[in-house]
Amino acid sequence: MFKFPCKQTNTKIKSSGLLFFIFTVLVGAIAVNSGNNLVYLTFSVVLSFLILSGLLSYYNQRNIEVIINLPDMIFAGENTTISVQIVNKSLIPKFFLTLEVLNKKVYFEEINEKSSRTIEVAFKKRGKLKINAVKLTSTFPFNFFTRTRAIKIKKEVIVFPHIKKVFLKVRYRNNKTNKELNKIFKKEHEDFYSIRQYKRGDNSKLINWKASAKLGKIMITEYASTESNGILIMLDNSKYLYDKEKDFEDAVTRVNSLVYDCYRTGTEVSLISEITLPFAKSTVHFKSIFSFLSTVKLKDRLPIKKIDSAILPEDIEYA
Amino acid sequence: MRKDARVYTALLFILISVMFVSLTDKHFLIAAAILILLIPIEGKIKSNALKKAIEALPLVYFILAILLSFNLFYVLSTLLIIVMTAKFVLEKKARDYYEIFIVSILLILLASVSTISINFVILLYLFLVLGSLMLILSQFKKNIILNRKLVLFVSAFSILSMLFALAIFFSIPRLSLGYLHGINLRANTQSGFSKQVVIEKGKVNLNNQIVMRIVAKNFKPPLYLSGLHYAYFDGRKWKVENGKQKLFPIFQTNNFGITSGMSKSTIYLEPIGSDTLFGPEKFVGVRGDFLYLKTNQFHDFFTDFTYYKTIKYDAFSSIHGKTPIVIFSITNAEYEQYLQLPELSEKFINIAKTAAKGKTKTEKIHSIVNYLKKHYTYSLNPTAQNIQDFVINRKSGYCEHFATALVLFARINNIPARLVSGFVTSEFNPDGEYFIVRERDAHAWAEVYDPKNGWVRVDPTPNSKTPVPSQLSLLIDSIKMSWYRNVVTYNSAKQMQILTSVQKGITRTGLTINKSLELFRSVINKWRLASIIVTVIVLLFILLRKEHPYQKKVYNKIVSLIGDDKMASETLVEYAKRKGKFKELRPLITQYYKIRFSKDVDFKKSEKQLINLLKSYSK
Repeated sequence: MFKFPCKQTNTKIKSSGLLFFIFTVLVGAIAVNSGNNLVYLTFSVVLSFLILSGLLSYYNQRNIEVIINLPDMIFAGENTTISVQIVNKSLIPKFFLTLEVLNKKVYFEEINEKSSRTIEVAFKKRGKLKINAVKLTSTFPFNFFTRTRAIKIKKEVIVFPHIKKVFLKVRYRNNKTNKELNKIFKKEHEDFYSIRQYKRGDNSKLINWKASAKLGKIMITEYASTESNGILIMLDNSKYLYDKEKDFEDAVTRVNSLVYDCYRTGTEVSLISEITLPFAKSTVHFKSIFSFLSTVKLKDRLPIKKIDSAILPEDIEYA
Repeated sequence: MRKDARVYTALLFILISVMFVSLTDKHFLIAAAILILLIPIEGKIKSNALKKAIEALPLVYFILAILLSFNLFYVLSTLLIIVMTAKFVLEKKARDYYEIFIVSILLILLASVSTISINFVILLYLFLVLGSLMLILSQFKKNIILNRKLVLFVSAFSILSMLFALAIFFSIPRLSLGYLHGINLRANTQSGFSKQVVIEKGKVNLNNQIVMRIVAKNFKPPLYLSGLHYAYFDGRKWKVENGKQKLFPIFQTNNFGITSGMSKSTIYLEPIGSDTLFGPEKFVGVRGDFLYLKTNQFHDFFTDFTYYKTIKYDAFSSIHGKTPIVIFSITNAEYEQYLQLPELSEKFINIAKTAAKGKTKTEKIHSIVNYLKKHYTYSLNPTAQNIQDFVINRKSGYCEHFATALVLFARINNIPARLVSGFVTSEFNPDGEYFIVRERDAHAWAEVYDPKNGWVRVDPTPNSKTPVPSQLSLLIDSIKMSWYRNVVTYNSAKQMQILTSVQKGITRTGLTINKSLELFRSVINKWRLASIIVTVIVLLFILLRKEHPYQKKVYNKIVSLIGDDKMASETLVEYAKRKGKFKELRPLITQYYKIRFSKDVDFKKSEKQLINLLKSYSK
């Protein structure tokens, strides 16, 4: 797990602000030197302008809530669209705010009540990511200062492992040919079995839209072949099986890619590793597998006994 | 194409900046007009050569202006206006708006040393509104149309900013080193007052321009303000003395010539381009922020520099009511000096002797004054070539002719006399309790020496008609006076005065609170049980008091509609039924009960309905 760090507040004076400040000092010097009250008045106005711009800059970043909406599944290396929303809790509009989320910047020119933007982020590594704060930067009101404020948020993201194109390279121990196995997750459902109502956990890809539209409720097409096409995958995280950490990461990627193909094609999958996840094909089930794979680490323990019918990472080849 | 809001804001901002210098010279308004004419070409210049030419324009102008050695104020002001205009005409980025803003402050600085107008503060507020709006708008990346929220926001900011600026202005310590005394641009050289008093032919124009304002509580109108005294007359021109005038420096400018019992007047003198200080009669002492002052043998005072800004000083007169405090005696040599006469004709001397009837000096002077007022007329267009021509032939002139004639008549009759020039005013502003002195109030009179009373004023000039100012002009002037008093002439002494009064106020408030608490404590101690009961009753009353005051009024109104003999135990319904008015008043009573007792009701709507019902029944 890694944290996204952020300081609380930081104000930097810009070149325009510095020039204005020098200018203010100069006007002050003229006022003292001349004793002319109108120069004093000009100095007071310029000074007040400078001080109040600092205060405005402060209040422009107060009473703000940042909401980050993440997609259900985030895979490492994939471009992910994240929605960012700023909610202005005060009556005064907010201006020129740049929000920095996960090292990506997004600009909001004017926010009256709320405003949303999307950003594209690609996560490098699998794992849990904690977003503790987002950076809010603004040059409001007069571009004299750049004020950065960290807004605390508690957001946890689980980044699933990378997905690559894979196929199975060896004969399956159940005497299934390569072709047969690949057929399982390439969505070739020839044998129609029935149409039934959608249940929670069903693969959304199997929704029969035509039937759903007719009946006014979500219906699922069941195929005869899908009943018996489940595959068993085995990922051993014993550190004695891998020379380097990188090899284990590669094994995770291979397994994850195969699981993703199964998810895509609606194939039942069971995973045996540190934990055992039984055969199922619901989205919740696949999410559990992805979550496990995103956090699985090498353990100092003896390897587990191999099951003949299980697919091992070395059986999965990159396309 | 429709222009962006920021372009118009920038235009208005530049116009306001130009207005600052136009307070000094109205010719700058031509620049404002040119700027408006340039709107159609704003941001449309595409040719690079033309862009470069416009960018180089300020530099070219500056070199030419310096070579032709124009006045520095005009050179700098015009240069800054050209810079802003060039920035406005060309395509602008956010930085350009910022530069316009900085240039504008320079222009304000130039204006602040050359003007004292109250309009300065109004323009300063507009500068804040438009400046902040322009800088905010310049940061928008898209084309914008002003929305209500933004305008409200900027207005609130500028009001806050102005208030904060005023707080800074009054609290910032004053450390005046006084190197700048204003720029000789606005100085009004036509003040009516001149150090030269020459008797010659020529028309005098009267001007209503204000020269000074005086807070003089110990004086009543007409208020005579002496500036210069003259002892030597060469037949045409008055001089302080025969030969070069001797001046003595005074360094005790905070307390010069002041003794107890003297009458103090505070004078706000406008820049008239003269170094002469004026004060009410028998002006002998000065207190002011000067490095040093100069004086001559007549106690006339002159400033260290010729000021081109409004100055404030206290003038002290050696008079209390009508009683002189200090009587200046004169030596024999001085006595002779005040009897000096130019070459005069026999006829002139005869007239002088004829005019001075009586035995005593006082009688003779009275007789001369009466003679002059009777036989001579006041005219602003005298035709007399010299004083003899005035006395013998023309018999028509203005104050200088009359005063000179009186001095010469007195001297011929062996009475020491001298001429005084200054101002005389009767214009009193009751709003601010101060006298107003205008250019047309410039005056000359005579002083004759009396061993008992010293120098005594004698004014032989017949009264001329002076226009009466309107109430509105007096009100406007009192605002101006307030501006001069509190802003233009604000200094460390005034600051100390404010601080002391604030301190006193805080102490007084603290004492009052303390006293009240003590009293409260003693009452509580004395009537402990009673006070607890009273407190509980008051609290209970407040907590249990649900009825809205207006409901009570409505209730009373309904009761009065039913009759005038309601019993205390009766409800409204019972009372109405007893009086046989229930059917008639049912909707009104029901509506009242609805508001009074129902919880789930739209109060605003129901109240409105009730009021309407009540009105219809009342009719």
